[in-house]
Amino acid sequence: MRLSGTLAAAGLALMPAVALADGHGKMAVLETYADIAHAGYEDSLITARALQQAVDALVADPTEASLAAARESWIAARVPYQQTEVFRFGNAVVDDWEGKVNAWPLDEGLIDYVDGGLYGAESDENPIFTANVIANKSLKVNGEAVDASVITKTLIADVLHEAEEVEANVATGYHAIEFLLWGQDLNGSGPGAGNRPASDFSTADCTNGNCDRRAAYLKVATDLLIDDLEEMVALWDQNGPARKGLLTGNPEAGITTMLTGMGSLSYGELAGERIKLGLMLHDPEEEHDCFSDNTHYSHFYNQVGITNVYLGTYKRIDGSVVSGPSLSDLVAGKDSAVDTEMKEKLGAARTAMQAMVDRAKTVEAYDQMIGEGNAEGNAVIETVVQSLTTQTRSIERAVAALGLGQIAFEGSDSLDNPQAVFQ
Amino acid sequence: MNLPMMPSVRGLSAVATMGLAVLSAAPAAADDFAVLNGAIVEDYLLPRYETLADAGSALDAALRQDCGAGTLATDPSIAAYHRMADAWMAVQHLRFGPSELFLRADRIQFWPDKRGITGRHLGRLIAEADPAALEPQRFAQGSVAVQGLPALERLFFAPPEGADPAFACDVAVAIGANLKSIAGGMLADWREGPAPYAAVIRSAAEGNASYMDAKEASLQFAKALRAALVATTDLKLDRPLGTSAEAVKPRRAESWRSARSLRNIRINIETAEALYEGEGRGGFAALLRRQAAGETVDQDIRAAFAQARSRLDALPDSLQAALDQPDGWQRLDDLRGDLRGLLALLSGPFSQTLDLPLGFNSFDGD
Repeated sequence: MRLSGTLAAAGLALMPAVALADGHGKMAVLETYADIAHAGYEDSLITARALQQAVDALVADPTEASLAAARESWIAARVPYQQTEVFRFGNAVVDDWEGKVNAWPLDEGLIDYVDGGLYGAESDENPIFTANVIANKSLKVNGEAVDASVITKTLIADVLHEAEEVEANVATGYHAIEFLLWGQDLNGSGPGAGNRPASDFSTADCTNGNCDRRAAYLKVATDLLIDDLEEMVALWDQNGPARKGLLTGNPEAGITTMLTGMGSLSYGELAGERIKLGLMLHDPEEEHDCFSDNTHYSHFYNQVGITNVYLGTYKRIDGSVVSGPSLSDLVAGKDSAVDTEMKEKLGAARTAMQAMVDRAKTVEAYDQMIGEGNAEGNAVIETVVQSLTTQTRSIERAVAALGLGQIAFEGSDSLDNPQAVFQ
Repeated sequence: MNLPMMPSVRGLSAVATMGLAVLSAAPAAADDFAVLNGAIVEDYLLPRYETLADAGSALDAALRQDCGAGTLATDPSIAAYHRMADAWMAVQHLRFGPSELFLRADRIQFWPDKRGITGRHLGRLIAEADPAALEPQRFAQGSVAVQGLPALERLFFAPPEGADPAFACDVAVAIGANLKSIAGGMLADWREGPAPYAAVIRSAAEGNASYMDAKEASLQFAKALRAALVATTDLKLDRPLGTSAEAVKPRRAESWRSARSLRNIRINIETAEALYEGEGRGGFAALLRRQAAGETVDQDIRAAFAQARSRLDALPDSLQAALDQPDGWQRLDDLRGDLRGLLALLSGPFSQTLDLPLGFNSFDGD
């Protein structure tokens, strides 16, 4: 009796201190999160610089070997970048920037030659669907004549990218570079990725015309990717506004941001837009890395990124590990059953993703898996979608366990300014 | 779609709500949610899925009859198309359970189609003119873009150039049969089989594979309510309207070829309002009114619905026709503003008062 009375009294007396400790705990979790973001973008920058070197080598001496090396560098650069996508949703500063770097899907006819039979000749949505800037030194964009005689960062980033207010006008970023390195995948649901010849970049022995301009485009787009990644690394460094915004704001809002990123990537973006859509259309064009056939790894590393944020740990490209107090610790402190379930679901999604990767490496490419009449391949992808959907339910339960209430809504003016709504 | 950060302000308002709760009504309890779920299933969901199944059967019959006589877009067939589209608009926002199974919702209507896939896939189907592609099982498991309402709409109102009329008719009949089968399947999964979904909702109170408790099932319905308005605002109005009257893109509107974009929205809003109000035994509104400070929130939400409805009543069925009116864009922009205000009420006070965190929805993503 006395004991419990003492405990109750002690508990009451300690309440402010406990609340403080809880706030501290959240701050520590946010610091881990910012550290992982910084390391992830830094790794993305390091690997993009390696890609830049490989692109320079390709442009200087376009051979099948230098092209293959550039493609390998692109694939390696995707490993850390895809793990950072979980930072995109929830962090407005990342989401605003992301479109320059990883916009998808793209109407690639804006950039270069395409096979009309496969690509189509016109679009309800996009008036510059087949503008082909590599072949055309003057264009009409947004109703105005554009001088495209020199391919510059300004031309592709400020004039062509998202021109005509059409999201599919993607002129910059990983997927524009991917298209230039691989070209269209003309194999439909058969085996094989894009097969652009190295001679497409050769001034001496040019195939498909305008090789100097194609090489210039590839170089400019790659240089621009470096600029953009440098900007994002700086945003997350010790004094960067992205980090500071999280660490000086309401800790609960910061934790909400983390969960928003996990849930939105998992559900609407990955399960929905990137995976289910392609599956239900059975259309090889509807895969995230449709030129390179690297989609399985892009999805897999997204899932690794989601797990990183929850467990508060990230394995860098040099093998070192960034880790610290985690969301998992916070959730376990509130409800260990929810934490256990969350870890299980993260693991299950990773297992489903691994099965997809294994199949891509040993049996058939991702675009074949989503093909019509391929029951076995379809089932592998369907399992991935299901596991992501289930995982999202657990994320919502984690939100509830932490008592965070409102979370994650897509854009509309009233929701972009929630304070205004609640005042 | 973008997902900007939504900082949590619940900490503050929860304190406020608790303070009031001590003075008046108790917060919504598990029993309240169980009763709400039962009413929604019986009075709201099942009747709408019955209407959809009937419309699917009628469409199938009309297409068989008219294409049997060699004509595709007859008046009865077009009327049957509109009846089906009306019925679909009343359940379009219910993206869970039987609607999610087998991608049924997407098969009935693949939209928005930002990359013109319907035109591409339908064009290819018609050009290849392979009867084997229309064999029911293969057709139903093929590309979702050619097997639902948007493809049928194109066949009626904008058939692919050079289409063989007889084959186009066969495609229409295949679509009709497919829609009948999907709509029938959804209704059956709600009512029958080893685990009818109506029973899954009822047993949520005890916890089951789909729901931890009754409240989680209510949350599902609250999300559907919000999803109806999000889809209307973001997909059906924002995309075609753009940011100014000069920037309109009317071909981004839903069902523009059959000139019923605003008719769709009218049904969406009516059906969202019915979910909120409840039919017969009371819905979210009644539960809300029993909470502390819930009366005011309820009045605000009702007023917002009424405003949006009266704005819609003054507009034609076609978004293009509305835009052709002198102040058309402005009136549609005002409607969009009304709906955003309504959404803010749902995401804010509604969600907080009932303690239903609305979370992620299936229209998220970009």
